[in-house]
Amino acid sequence: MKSYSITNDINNKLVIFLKKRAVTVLLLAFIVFMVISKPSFYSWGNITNILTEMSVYGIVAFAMTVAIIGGEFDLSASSIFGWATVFFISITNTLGLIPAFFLTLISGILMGMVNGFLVSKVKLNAFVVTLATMTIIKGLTFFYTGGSPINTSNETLIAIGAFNVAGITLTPIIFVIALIVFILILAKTRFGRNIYATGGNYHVAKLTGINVDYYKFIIFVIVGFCSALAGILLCVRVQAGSALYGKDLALYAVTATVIGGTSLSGGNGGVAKTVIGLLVMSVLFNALTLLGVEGYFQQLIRGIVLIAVIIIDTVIKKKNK
Amino acid sequence: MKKKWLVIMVVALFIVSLFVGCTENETSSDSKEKTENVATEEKAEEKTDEKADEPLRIFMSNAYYTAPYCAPLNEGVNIEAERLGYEIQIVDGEGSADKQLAQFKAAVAEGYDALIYFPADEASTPPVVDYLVSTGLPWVVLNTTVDPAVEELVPSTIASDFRDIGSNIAQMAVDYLPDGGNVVYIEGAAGSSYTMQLTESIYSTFEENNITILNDHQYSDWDPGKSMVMMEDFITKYGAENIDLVVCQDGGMWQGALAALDAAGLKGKVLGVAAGNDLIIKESIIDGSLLGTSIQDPFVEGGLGVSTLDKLIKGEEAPKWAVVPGGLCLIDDIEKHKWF
Amino acid sequence: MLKIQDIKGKYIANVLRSYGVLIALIIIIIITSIIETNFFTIGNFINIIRQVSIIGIVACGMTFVIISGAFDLSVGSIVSLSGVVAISTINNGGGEALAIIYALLIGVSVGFVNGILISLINGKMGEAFIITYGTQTVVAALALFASGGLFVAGRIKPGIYKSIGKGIVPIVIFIVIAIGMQFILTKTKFGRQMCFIGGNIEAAKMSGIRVVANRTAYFMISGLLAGFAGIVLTSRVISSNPAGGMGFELDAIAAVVVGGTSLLGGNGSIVKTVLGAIILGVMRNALNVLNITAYPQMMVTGVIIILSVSLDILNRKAKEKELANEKL
Repeated sequence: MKSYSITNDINNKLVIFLKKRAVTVLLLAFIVFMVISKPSFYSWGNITNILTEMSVYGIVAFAMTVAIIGGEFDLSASSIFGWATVFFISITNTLGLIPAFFLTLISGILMGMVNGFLVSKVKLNAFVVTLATMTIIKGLTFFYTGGSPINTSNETLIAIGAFNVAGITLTPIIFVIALIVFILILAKTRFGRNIYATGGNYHVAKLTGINVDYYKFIIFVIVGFCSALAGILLCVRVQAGSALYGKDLALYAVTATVIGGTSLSGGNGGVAKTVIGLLVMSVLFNALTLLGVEGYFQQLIRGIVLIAVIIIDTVIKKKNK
Repeated sequence: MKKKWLVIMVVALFIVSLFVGCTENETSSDSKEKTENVATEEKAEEKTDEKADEPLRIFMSNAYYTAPYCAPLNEGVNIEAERLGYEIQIVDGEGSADKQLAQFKAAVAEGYDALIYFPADEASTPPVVDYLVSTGLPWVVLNTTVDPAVEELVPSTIASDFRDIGSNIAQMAVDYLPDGGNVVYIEGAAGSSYTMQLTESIYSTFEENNITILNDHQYSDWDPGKSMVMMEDFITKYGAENIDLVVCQDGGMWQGALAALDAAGLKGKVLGVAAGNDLIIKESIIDGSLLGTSIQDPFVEGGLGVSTLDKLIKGEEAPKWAVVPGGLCLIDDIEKHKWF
Repeated sequence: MLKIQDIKGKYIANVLRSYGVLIALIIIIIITSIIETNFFTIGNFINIIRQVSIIGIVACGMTFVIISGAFDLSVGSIVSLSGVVAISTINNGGGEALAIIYALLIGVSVGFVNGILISLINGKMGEAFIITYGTQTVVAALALFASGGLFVAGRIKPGIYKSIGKGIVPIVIFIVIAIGMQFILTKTKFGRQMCFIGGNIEAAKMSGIRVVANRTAYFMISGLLAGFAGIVLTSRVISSNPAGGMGFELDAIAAVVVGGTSLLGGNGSIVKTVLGAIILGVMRNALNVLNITAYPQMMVTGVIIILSVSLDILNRKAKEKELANEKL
C-alpha cells in the first residue's frame, strides 16, 4: 500500500512537472531524436556552435523578457542593434576600441531613454512609440553611413573575436553572465520584484507606493543597453556593421520570450524560461540545417513549430488548472 | 492520469513523426538523386576517377535565398550539381554573416565535402572567409565579392561585375539622350552591394554626359508595388513632359514603374532602361517600352559557381575571378538569352 | 464677455484636440502646397488616396482585430499569397472570377486558422502575436512555393480584374468597405459584441456571447480584406511578388494607431483608421514630392507618428480633467 502511494506521488509530481514544462519536454524529446538520428548534432563543436549562435540575440531576448514582465514591449531593439553595429565600427575606426565601446553603450541607453520617456511620461503606447523610433533610428543609421555596410581591421577587435577556449568564445560567456545577472536582479532584489509588480497590476503597484513610471522608464533603458551590447558582440564576431543587421531581432526576442513561457500580459515569467525559448529556436535552426532541409521548407517548418509549441503549451497548462 | 500521459505521448510522437517524415523525405529524394547520379556517373566514368559509392556533398549558404533573383540562381546551382554528380543543400543565410557562420559550422560538423558562400555584404566577409579557409575544404564565393582585405584568401569568386552593369545601363541612357536630359532613377535596397555599385557607376557616367537625375536616392526594396508608388509621385512632381527616361535597377522595379506609366497613359512615351533577365524586361523590350537591359543571368551564375567548385574539388586550376557573362541586350539579341 | 470668450477658447481647444490628427494632416498639406505647387492638385489627391487604398483596406480589417483585443501579424503574407495565386490563376487560363475567388478564399481560410486557434485556446495578445507570427511565416513560405520565388508578370486582359485597380475604382472600393465596416461596428449587435469582447473577454463570456465564433469571425474578416488588398495590389502593379505584402502588417497597425484607436482594445473606429491611413499616405507623398531622400524620410515619418499619437493622448488627458472638473 505504502509503496504504491509513494510511486503514485512521484508519478503525480512528474506529471505536474511535465505539464508545467511542456515546451522543455518537447525540446528534450527533439534533442533525443536529433542525437539518435544525426551523430554530428552531438559533437562539442556543434553544441558550442548552437550556444554561440543564440548568444547575441539571446542577450536582447533577456532584456525583452524584463520589458514584457514589466508589461511593455520594444520593437526598436532591432534598429538600436543595427545602429550599435554601425556606430561601434565607425568609432573604432576613428577614436579606438575603448571609446567606441562606451559611446555605443551610451547611445543605446540614450535611445532607450527616449522610448522610456515617451512611454512612461507622455503615456504613449509602447507598440506605437517603438514602431516609430524603430523607423527613426533606422533612418538615422542609414544616414550616418550613407547606407553602406562598414567594417574594421582593428587588430585588438579581431584578437578578441578570435579568443577561444575549447570552442567557447567571448559571446557565450557574456551571455551566461547576463543570464546570471538578470536572474539575480529579478529574483533577489527589490528592483526586480517591483518590475513584476508594475507589470502585474499597474494601478495596484502605484497604490502600494511603487514609483511605477520609473520602472516603466528603466525597462526601455535596459532594452536599449542590451541591444547596444548585443550589437557590439556581433561586431566582435563579424567586425562589420550595417543598418540591415538585426532586422528580425525584436520579433525573435519576443518570440523566444513568449515560447519560453513568459506571458505578454506582464507580471510573470523569467529569463531562465527565455533560455528554453532561445534553445527551441536555435536548436531548430541548427537541426534543420543538419537534417538537410532547404530554404523555403525551413521557413515553413519553423512557422508550424512556432504555432504548435504555443498551442500545446497553452492547452496543457489549461488542463493543469 | 493515464489520459494525460497519453496526450503528452501523442503530442511528442506527433512532433517526432513530423521530423522523421522530413528526414524520410530527404532520404527518399536522396536515393532518387543517387540513382540519377549513378546514371550520370556511368556516362562520365572515364572523366572522373572517383569510385565513391556516395556522391560528394556540397553545402551552400545563400544570404538572400528568398529574393526573386535567387530562385533561378538556386535552380542553376541544383541542376549543375546534379549534372556533375553532387548532392547539394542550399540554406537561407537571412542576410546575416553571423548566421551564415553558424550554418557553415553546422555543415562542417555534418561532414559536407565542399562549400559555396553567397555573402550578405562585402563588409562582413572576413570572419567567414577566415573560417572557410580554416576548414581546409574546397570552397568558392558566389555573386558578391568579398572585402579587399581577404580577397587573397578566396580560392575563386564567381560574380558579375556590378559596376559594369551600372555603366551598361548608363551607356544605354547616354546613347538615347546624346544631348543630355532628365531621368528618374529607382534603386534597389539601401546597403546592398549591388545597389551601391550600380549607383556609383551610373552617377559618374551621367555626370560626364550631362544627364541629370531628378530625384534623390529612393529605394523600392526590389518591390514592384513600392516602385509603382514612387513612379506615380515622380510623375506628379516633375510632370511627364520633363522625364526623358526611367532608370531601374532590376525587372521587378521596372514592372512597377511600367504599371504607373501605363496607368498615366505614358507607356511607350516615356521609355526605360533596366538590368536583369526578368520576363517582363523581355516583353517590354519587344513592345518598345524598354530600350534594353544589362544581362545578368542568375541561372548561368549558379551553374558557373558549381562548375568552378567542381574544378577545385578535382584539384584543377580555377580562375580567381570567374566573371559571369553579361553585357548589353537590345531588341536584336533577345533570343540569345534566357528569361525568367 | 469673459465667459463667452472662455467658452469659445475652450471650444476651439476642444476641436483642436479631438481632431489632432486631422489638424496634423492639414498642416502637412499646407506646408507642402506652399513649397511645391504640383502637390495641391486634384490629380495628386486621387493619386494619394489610390495609393492609400490598399493599406487602408488591410487596416480596416486590422481595426476589428485590434478592437477585439488582439492583433494580426499575418496580413502582409496573406496579401502576398493571394496576389501570387490570383496572378498565376489568370496566367494559367483559370479566369478572372476564379482568380478573385481563390484570393479571397485564401484570405478567409488563413484568417479562419488564426481565429480558431487563438480563440480556442482563449489566447490573449501574446498568443495572438505568436500564432499570427507563425502563420505569417508559413504563408510567406507558401507564397514562395506558389510563385517559385519569382516575380510573375500578369497576363491580364482588359476586364474586371484590370479595372479593379484602374482610375478611381480602388478608391470607391476602399470607401465602400470603410463605410460598411463602420456600419457593422457601430450599428450592429456584432459590432457591439466586438467592443465588449475587447473590453472584457471574461465578462463577455459570462453574458453568453459566443466568444469563439465571434473572435474567429474578426480574424476571418481581417484575412478576407487582406486577400482583397492582394487583388487590388496585383491589379494595379499587373504582377505578383512573393514578398509583395511584406511589412504591410506594421503599416496597417500604424494606420490604426495613428488614427487614434487604442491597442488595448475595447473601442475604436474605422473612420479614425481611414484618417490614419490617409495621413500616412499624404505624408509619404509629401516627402516624395518635396524630394526628401529615403533616410531622412524614415526619420520624419517616425517623428510624425509620435507627434500625432501624442496629440491624441493630450486630448484624452484634457477630457479626463474636464470630466473631473465637472464632477467637482
